[in-house]
Amino acid sequence: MKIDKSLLSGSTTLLVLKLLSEGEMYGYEMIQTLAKRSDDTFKLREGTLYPILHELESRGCVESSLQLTPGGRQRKYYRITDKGSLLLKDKTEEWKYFSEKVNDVVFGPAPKPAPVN
Amino acid sequence: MTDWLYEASSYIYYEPDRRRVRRELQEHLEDAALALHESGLDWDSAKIKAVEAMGDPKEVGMLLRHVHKPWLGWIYKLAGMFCVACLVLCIITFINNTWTGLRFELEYLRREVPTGAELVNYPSFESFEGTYTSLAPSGKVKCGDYTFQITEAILASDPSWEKDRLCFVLSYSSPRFWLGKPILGNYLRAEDSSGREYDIYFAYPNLPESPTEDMMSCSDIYWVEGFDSMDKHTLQVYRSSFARGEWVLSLPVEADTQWVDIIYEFDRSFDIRIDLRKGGGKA
Repeated sequence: MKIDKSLLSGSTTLLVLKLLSEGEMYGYEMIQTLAKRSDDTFKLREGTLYPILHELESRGCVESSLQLTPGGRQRKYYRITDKGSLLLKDKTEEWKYFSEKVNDVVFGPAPKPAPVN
Repeated sequence: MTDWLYEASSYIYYEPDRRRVRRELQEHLEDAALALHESGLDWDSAKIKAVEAMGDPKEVGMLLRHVHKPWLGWIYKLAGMFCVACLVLCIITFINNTWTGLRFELEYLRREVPTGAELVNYPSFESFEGTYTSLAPSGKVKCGDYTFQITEAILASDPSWEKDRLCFVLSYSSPRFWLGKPILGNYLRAEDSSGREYDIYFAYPNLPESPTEDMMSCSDIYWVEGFDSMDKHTLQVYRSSFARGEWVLSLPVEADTQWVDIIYEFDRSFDIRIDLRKGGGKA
C-alpha cells in the first residue's frame, strides 16, 4: 500500500535508530533493510538518509567507523551509542502514545478490558 | 552519477566535510547500482535508477548543508582566501626585495674603493695636491662574526696643514652572509704611540668637511647620485647584501707619532696597529 510520504518523514529518525539498535549497518544496508521489513512500504528517498545519520552523529546518538569491504573499498558503518539508545526509547514511547491517540480518534477509543471477577 | 554527487555535495561549504560526504554518497550509489545490475538491469540503466532513487540533489544538498555547519565552511573559505592573499603578498615582496637586493649588489660589485690620494679628502672628491707615503696594510683580525682588515693606509702631508693625516681603508666581511654591517657607532677609536686618543665621527656630505681636531672621521664608500641646490655632491652608499664592505677613515697625527692603534670595543673587541714608520713607498 502506498502511503503519504509526510507520514514517513516524521518517523525516519525512530526507524533509523531502531535499525541501528540491532547492529551496526552502512547506509545502503539500512535502506534495503527498511524496505524489506516494511514490505517496500517504507522506501525513503535514499539521499535523505544521510542528513539524518549525520545529524544523529553530530548529536552523539550514533557513531561511525570506516571498514574495509571484501572488495577492498572502504565503507562507513554506523552504530548506536548509549545516548542514541535513550533517544530511541523516548522516540518509541512518543510514537506509541501518538499512534494510540490517532487510533482513538480514527477508530474510537479501544474497548476497556472487562473486569475479572 | 558524478553530476548528482557533485551537485548534492556542493551545498556543503566546509571542504573536508564535502569530500567525506561525497565519498560516502558515492559508495551508496555504487552499492545501489551494483544491486540493480545484479537484479538484471544493464549498467547504464542501473546507474540511472540508482541516481533516481537518491532523490533531488538540491533537496539532499540543502539538508546536508544544514547539518554540516555552514558557518564553519565560511570560515574555511575566508581562511583559504586570506592564506592565498598572504602568499601572493609574500611572493611580491620577495621578488621586489630580491630584485632590489640584486640591483644593490651589482652596484656594490662595480664600486670603486678610493686609493692613494683619493683617501685624503674622501668623500668630498676634492683632489689632493700634497704628498703621501703608503703604509703596510694589516693582517686580518677576527672579531665575533666578522673579519676586519686595514687594506690600505697612507700618511698624507700638505704644507698648508698643521698636522699630517693618517688615512686608511678598514674592510669587514663575514661568512654569515645574511648579517648586516657591524655596528661601529662610538665603539671604534684610535690611540697613538703618545697616548693621544681619537674618538670617531661619521662624515656625511652635509656635515662640515673639515674634521674636528683630535677626531677620526669615518665614511662609507659612496657613489655620486647628483648635486643639490648648493651644488654639493649628493651621495648614495654602496651596500652589499652579503655582510661585507669598507669604510674610509682619517685622523690627524702629530709629527712624533710612531704608530696608531685602531681599537674596537663592543660585544667583542679588536686592536689593529698601523705603523707609521713602515712605509710602502712615497707618492
